[in-house]
Amino acid sequence: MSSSPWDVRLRKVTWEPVPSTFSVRRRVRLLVLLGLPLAVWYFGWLLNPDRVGTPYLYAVLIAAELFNLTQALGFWWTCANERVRERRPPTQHVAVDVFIPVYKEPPEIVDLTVAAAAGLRSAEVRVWVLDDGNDDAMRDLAARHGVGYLRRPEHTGAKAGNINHALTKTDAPFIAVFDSDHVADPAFLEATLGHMDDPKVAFVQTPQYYANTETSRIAAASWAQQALFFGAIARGKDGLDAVFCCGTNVLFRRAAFESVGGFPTNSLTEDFELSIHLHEKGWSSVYVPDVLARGLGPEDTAAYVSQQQRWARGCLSGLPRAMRAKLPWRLKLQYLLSGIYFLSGWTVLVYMSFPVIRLLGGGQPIGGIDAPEFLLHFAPYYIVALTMAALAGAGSYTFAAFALSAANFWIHVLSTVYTVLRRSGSFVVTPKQGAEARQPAAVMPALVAIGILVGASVYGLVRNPDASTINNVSFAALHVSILITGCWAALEKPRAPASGTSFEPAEVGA
Amino acid sequence: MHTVKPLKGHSPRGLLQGLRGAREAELFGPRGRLPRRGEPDTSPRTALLVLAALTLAGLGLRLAVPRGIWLDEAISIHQARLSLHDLFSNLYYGDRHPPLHHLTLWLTVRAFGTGEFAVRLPSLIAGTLVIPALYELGRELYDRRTGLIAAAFATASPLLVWYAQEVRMYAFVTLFGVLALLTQLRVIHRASMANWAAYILATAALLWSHYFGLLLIGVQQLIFVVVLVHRRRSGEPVKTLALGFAYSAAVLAMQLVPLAVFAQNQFQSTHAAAGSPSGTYDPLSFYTVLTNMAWALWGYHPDATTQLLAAMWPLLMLLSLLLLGRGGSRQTLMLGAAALVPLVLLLIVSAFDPELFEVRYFLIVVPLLLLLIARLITGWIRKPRARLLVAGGFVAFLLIGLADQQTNKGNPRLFDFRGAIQKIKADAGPNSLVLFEPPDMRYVLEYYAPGLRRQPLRLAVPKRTKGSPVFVLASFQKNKQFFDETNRVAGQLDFFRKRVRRFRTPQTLVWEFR
Repeated sequence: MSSSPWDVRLRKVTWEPVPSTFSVRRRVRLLVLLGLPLAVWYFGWLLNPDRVGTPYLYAVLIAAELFNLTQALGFWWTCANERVRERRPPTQHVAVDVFIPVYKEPPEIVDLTVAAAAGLRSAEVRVWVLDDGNDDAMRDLAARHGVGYLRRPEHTGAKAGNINHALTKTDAPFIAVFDSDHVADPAFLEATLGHMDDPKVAFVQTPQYYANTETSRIAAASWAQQALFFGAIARGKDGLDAVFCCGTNVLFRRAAFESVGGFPTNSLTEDFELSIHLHEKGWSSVYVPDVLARGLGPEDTAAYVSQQQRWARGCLSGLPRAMRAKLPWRLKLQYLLSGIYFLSGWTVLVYMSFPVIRLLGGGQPIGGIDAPEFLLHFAPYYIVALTMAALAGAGSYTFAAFALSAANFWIHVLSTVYTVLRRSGSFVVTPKQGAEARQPAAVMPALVAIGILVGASVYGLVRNPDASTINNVSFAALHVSILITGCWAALEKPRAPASGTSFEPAEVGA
Repeated sequence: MHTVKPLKGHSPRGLLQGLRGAREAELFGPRGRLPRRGEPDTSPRTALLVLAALTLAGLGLRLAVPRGIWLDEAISIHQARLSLHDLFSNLYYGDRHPPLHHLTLWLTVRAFGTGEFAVRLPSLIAGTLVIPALYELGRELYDRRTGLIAAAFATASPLLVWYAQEVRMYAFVTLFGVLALLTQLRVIHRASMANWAAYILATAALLWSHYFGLLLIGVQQLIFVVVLVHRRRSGEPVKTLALGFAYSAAVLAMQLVPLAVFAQNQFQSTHAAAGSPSGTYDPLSFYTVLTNMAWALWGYHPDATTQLLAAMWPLLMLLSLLLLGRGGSRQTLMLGAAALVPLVLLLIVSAFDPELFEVRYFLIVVPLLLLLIARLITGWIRKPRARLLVAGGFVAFLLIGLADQQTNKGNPRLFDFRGAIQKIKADAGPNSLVLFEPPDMRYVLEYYAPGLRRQPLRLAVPKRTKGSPVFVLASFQKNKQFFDETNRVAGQLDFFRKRVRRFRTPQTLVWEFR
């Protein structure tokens, strides 16, 4: 079997992670000068006791707004510390074990991953297919490419256990890890190995780029979310020496791995927890912002939901660990900021509830003010915060990305509940191929929310179509538009596979 | 456990060499067959036909004028009836506008008289020409399709129709603003002498139509600087453009000197605007901004409707979110800057004088907003049918707004002086007297009832009106000063004379006493 010559992972990278004009660092710092006083202006006004409308709704609003402010300040702080690392070639010839953990993925997807890994330059490369799916086709594939193949008798600890097992069977001083769908650029080691000259560096992380954005609406929106993280946020974390490992497209130092006993196997986001362990031990981490591997994003909504559930459960359950960790305050804050992102679905739920409660005849959080007064305080802060996201993301963060995240608010809600109840989750590999049918079940909570918002709007309009009702119906329409956009990929008929002739090919270095 | 060691001596690089280099075409698809992202543009012939139809439809909508002359228009007509010397003297000492529209109206009155249609003719023509001008701007910036959709929006835009029917300079500002941007684009694309001449003429016409034209012209100078810096950085030749820019800036400066002297005298001579009486507008607030934006898009409507429209502000949040990751093209940035910067500058100026934040002062923003909306539709919606549906829906939305604006008697900008004066004329005798408030109402009376005796409300009522009806014609009653004065005099007349009747037309009150 050979890789299809039309594989999307061979397409040219369309993402430019670092803006060619003003650096994100400069953009954000300039905007922060504007944003901080505006935040004080808004919250100074909002927290005035005269604003209290219905007390319990006001309390909920304040909680949601303060959470968003925390997220915004964290985002600004991170991006304002951006560091853009250059590629650093190796200074000596070393051996690198390349791990490709697989678990029942289609061999035609793994085929190109293995081929590309085997083609990595500038080191003695030993590729290992770590097969947790006991798949003979995978063994044959490894044999065909002339790479190593490891299958273990007991499949405990999921991906983390699989890699830990491979650590005992291999001995190169450095280890590169690629997910089964991530096609490495031949220059991956040329760009990253040089950073290992600093003996304190435990790992070098690179972006997790999705190449299937043209063929999948979900992958495109999902990538737009990733692009913000692997763009401004990851570079900012690097500036604060707080880059955490993302599990793929990463180069490790074996000594660092061994110093913490390998990947923790009791977490759904083993990479997140591993990073905490490493930073606690005094190791440092590096982020190289260039795309050095091309993978596949979730092809359908169910895959996206599965991926997000895993990340949310993992990061939320990692929060106590991050709080207990003996880390410098900036690292601890960075871990906490990354973890609490997965609580943001609660704020979506809160904001959707307000117009419904008002339209059904209930109260409203803020009282005794008119729209101009509210807008005078809120709009400048909102505009600057939004502009910050747009400029930091250099245009990569889209409405579709925002809508997809908002429409899956329930994942964060459910994950919080499960985490609090200490219900265990299982590691589920993100499917690499899209479904062939519509997936309304995957977005059912959002559809229910749409139904409630529309129902409340109709009720409100019939009851009393005054300006206040129109205002709340407009809020409901805002939420409905966002939710429908976020659900759309699950409701539309899946697209036919893309033709291979309609793309610009990747530039593969000589 | 299965463990297979990597083959010794196996060179994986051989496989990579297959991935790169000479066999790219085989691996990545033939280079020459990369797809076009967009479908073909509308053909020139179709575009021309559709544009002609839109322009005719636009003319038809603009010709259907359902209202009479109002205060500001009557002032303009009064000025146009003066001799040329007196016109300039009047403008110099009693107005706050540059003279281009007044001069055009002066010529029109000489050529066609002072009938309602004749005095509206310059605005009607300018307001109709905005349609093809906006199409051309859309075509120059994007493509014919975007230009046509923008032209369709301009055809039905309530506010553009409104000011195309008004005997004032706002339709001129709109047309020359669009032309100034269009000619600037052409200069940037093709810096020929003819294009430079057209640009200089268009900006001069804009500048001499309204002082606020300077806001747009200022943005245009910034655009030139940005383009020059960008070209210089990217190693493109800049000499021709820089020379033309310097020349046009010099011509602009030469115009600014006499205009500044003219304006300084005007503003020293007049403490209040020559047009609408002061104090009739709401103080500047987010509500007034929202209201003016609602008017800009959907025209003038009764306050209750406008309040409902303004209450829909959360939808602006949706728009702001929709813009995430969009609008990165230089054309759209330029268009956005041309639309927003004058608006923001005017907003800043209005912090000192709230009456200046009035939609008619930033009417130039309206066609640019329409073009931006057209671009959103052509840029975001790829399916032709869906695009047509959305564009058609928006035109229908505009037409509904237009119908309500033109026919609803609750329109806050509708002052039916013509209807009131016609009723007065029907009852008036030879010695009848019309007392009017505000004082500038004399120009309306001069236009509609030149033979009627009239005097401002503040003057004492002469005795020789005994036996003849006395009318009180009052408007702008939201102004406390006018309201108090009207009440005082109407109350006195009510006490000493017999009130025969009291009636109202939109925004106008009439009392008849004997």
